[in-house]
Amino acid sequence: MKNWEVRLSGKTLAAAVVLGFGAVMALASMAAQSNAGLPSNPQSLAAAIVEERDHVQPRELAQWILEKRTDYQLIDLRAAWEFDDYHIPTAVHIPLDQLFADAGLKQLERGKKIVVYGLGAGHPAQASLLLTLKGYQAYSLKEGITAWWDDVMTPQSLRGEAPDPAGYQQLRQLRQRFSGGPVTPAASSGVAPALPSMPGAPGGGTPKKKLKLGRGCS
Amino acid sequence: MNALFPLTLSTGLFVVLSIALGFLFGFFLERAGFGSALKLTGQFYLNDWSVLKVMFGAIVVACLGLVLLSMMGIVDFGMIYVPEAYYLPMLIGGLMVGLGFIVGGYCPGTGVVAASTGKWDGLVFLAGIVAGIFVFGVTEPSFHDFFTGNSRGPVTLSQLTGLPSGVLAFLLAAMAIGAFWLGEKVERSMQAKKAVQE
Amino acid sequence: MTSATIPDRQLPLSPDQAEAMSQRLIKKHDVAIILLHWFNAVTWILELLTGAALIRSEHFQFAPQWFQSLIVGIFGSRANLLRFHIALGLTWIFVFSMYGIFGFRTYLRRQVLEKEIGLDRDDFAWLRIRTLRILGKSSEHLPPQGIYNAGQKMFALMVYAMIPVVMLTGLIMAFHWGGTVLVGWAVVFHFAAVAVVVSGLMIHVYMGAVFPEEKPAFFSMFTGMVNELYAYHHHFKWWREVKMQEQIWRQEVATGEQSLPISEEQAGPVARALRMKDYWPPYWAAFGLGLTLLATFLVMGQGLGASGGFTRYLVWGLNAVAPGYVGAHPYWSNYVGGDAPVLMDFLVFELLGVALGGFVSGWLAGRVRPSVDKGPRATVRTRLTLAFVGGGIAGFGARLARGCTSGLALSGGAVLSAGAFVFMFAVFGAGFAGAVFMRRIWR
Repeated sequence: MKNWEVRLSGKTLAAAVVLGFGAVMALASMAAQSNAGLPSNPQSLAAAIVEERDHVQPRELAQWILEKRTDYQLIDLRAAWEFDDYHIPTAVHIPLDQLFADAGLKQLERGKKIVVYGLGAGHPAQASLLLTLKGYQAYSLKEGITAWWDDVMTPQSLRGEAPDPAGYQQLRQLRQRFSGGPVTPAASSGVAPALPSMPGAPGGGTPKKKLKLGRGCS
Repeated sequence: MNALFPLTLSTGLFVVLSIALGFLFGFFLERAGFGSALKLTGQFYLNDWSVLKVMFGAIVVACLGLVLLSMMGIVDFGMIYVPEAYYLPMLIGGLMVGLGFIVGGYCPGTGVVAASTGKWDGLVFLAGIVAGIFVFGVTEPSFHDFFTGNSRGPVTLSQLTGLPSGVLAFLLAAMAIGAFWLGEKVERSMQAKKAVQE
Repeated sequence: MTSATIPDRQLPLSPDQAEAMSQRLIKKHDVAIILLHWFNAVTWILELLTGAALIRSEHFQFAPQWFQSLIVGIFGSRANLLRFHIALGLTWIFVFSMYGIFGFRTYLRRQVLEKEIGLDRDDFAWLRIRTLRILGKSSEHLPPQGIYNAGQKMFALMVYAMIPVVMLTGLIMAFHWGGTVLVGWAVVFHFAAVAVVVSGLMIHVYMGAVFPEEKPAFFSMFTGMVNELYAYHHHFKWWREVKMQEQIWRQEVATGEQSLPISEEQAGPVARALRMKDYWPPYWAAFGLGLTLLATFLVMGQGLGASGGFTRYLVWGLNAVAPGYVGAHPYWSNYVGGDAPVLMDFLVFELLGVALGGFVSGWLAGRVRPSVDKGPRATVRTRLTLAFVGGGIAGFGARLARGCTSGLALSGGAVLSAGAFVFMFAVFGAGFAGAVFMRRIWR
């Protein structure tokens, strides 16, 4: 017993344990990644589409943005001027025709949920399908940016529904968060309703980019 | 989300736990001897590799732990803060922090530990930090665009390399062990050189 | 007791001998065992309270409604209560796993293999006679016992048997391993095991905290020591072993053979590590720091840091003397005016903890004293000037990089942030480059 203990020094043993553990982690994460996202064979994928598992609801996306989650990537598929005009916070602009070029694919991360959106539902659905077949965990924002306007940006009372207490709190939070600053869409886009001015919306009309104080040391 | 962590805390618990975690941080730093500028700067003269061992080692331990716990579903990794990549400011800032390290003898965290164990130079270093931050704040508007521009978002090595986090954690651990082994060799040869000189 | 004659059975003592023995102390428990015991006690109390409040089934409601409401009220919701119960349970499992793995050689092996809790003939006789004495049916003398008497050994064995059951069933319930049937049976066994332990616990707590003759044993769970008279009367076989060791040690000293003083030898590894005068080996600190970093991520969702906290202290100070200036300034105003006060931030409180932790560690090692760290060739004035200048550069750089070695390098590195690694390379690069010019200060 004594000799065996002496020969195997503590440091070597610790290094071996760490490496072994790391190797197990590496293998497990490779397996997990290949199983993530939607299945890519047509029958299972079709079933997933019917069950709307390939969609992300606008409120759900708004919650992720509020929570400052880092496990998703939001892709805006529209034209550059539409993106500059207004885009959902945290979105990255990659037009559909460049999504599968080298430059586009490089920006996508396999370990994260890729959520694509456009004006409506058509192009994003096709894009998410193509991405799924390429092995990414791809989803599309249901009904595109118009649904984002309706569900997240526009006050519920203007749509004539009676607000329910629980949903109201979340809506207030979302509105306060996303309505800070000048956000009127250009008239020529035509589809989205004009945003009424919010009473007490934070943030002045400063043209300078405000400092994003993240958590951590910033 | 059915993950347990991160937690949402009441204010009182938040304050208590923050202090407790800071306590452990300071405790281990001081135990390692990082309240001493001489020990810290020894790294840059290659005869004491403790700084690399402790920093790199802690990163590897935490990284492996996070990978394990997020795969087990205990941690919701999407809620963990990942710093945004401002490459150029971080590069220049890093050079300055490194310079401050070798000139002043500490970094912000170790400076607190040094001051708390009675080192005057640690206390003065901390005063310098506050002055430096003040100067930064006052001058920031003149380079505001450089400071806030061009964030690439929370870029991780996983995104850059396309490898899953577990694989990267393993590679990091392997590199760390290699670096430690190398460091110990260099330490021993520096010690031998010193013995010959005396 | 002269050193020449250590009796092999309990002899009656003269009053003087008894008095002398009651003044001398023997070490019974290690620091590590004491810490582990109280950690265990606190954990069990909290888990029992929260567990009792969690049981809600109609048939097996364990705690009255007011109790449940009280406990749930403290945590805000049943979900939070459950999270706490599970989190504490996981911590408990982790600590005991560490004890089992790293403490096996020093503690567990002695208890299990060397039969500190194994039962021998004296123990069985003790159990029989003790029971009869309680029932009033015997007044025989109890046979001599080892460091733990037979009753304590029975409790230990029962706890050692039940603890793995509680842990395993707890894990099954928390993570829903194995499907409904397994989770269902896990519930049953979890409660059954806890009930068995609690029944033993009631005797354990009574014996420790209430029963007058065992008072020295109770205090030994704080100080680690018992007086010799107590040991002689209640744990004679252990007393005898200690005395024989002492005799051997005295002979060694008399013949000039060097050996460590008894207190050092008797100190276990945890006590030695905490009281160590030298610096810890860096790998130990790395492991401890890594676990702390991991815990910070788990609890706060972000890692450790420093420079952000300094910034907030500075802004708070500036705001106190010149709020108009701060409010109008494009950089400082980012930190004020939100819905939380500028000081309500993790780093602000964490820095306080760092100072405290550094002080305690230094104090335990005897390293707290006013001094200036510098190389032999530098003057104090030069060193202090450079400390200030270095701090200024580091402070500026830390803000520019949005973090420092703790906030960006350590915490960013742990989540594999690309910016963090760029930062780290830059820090080390500048450090090595600058070392060439700073030789006069450090060497």
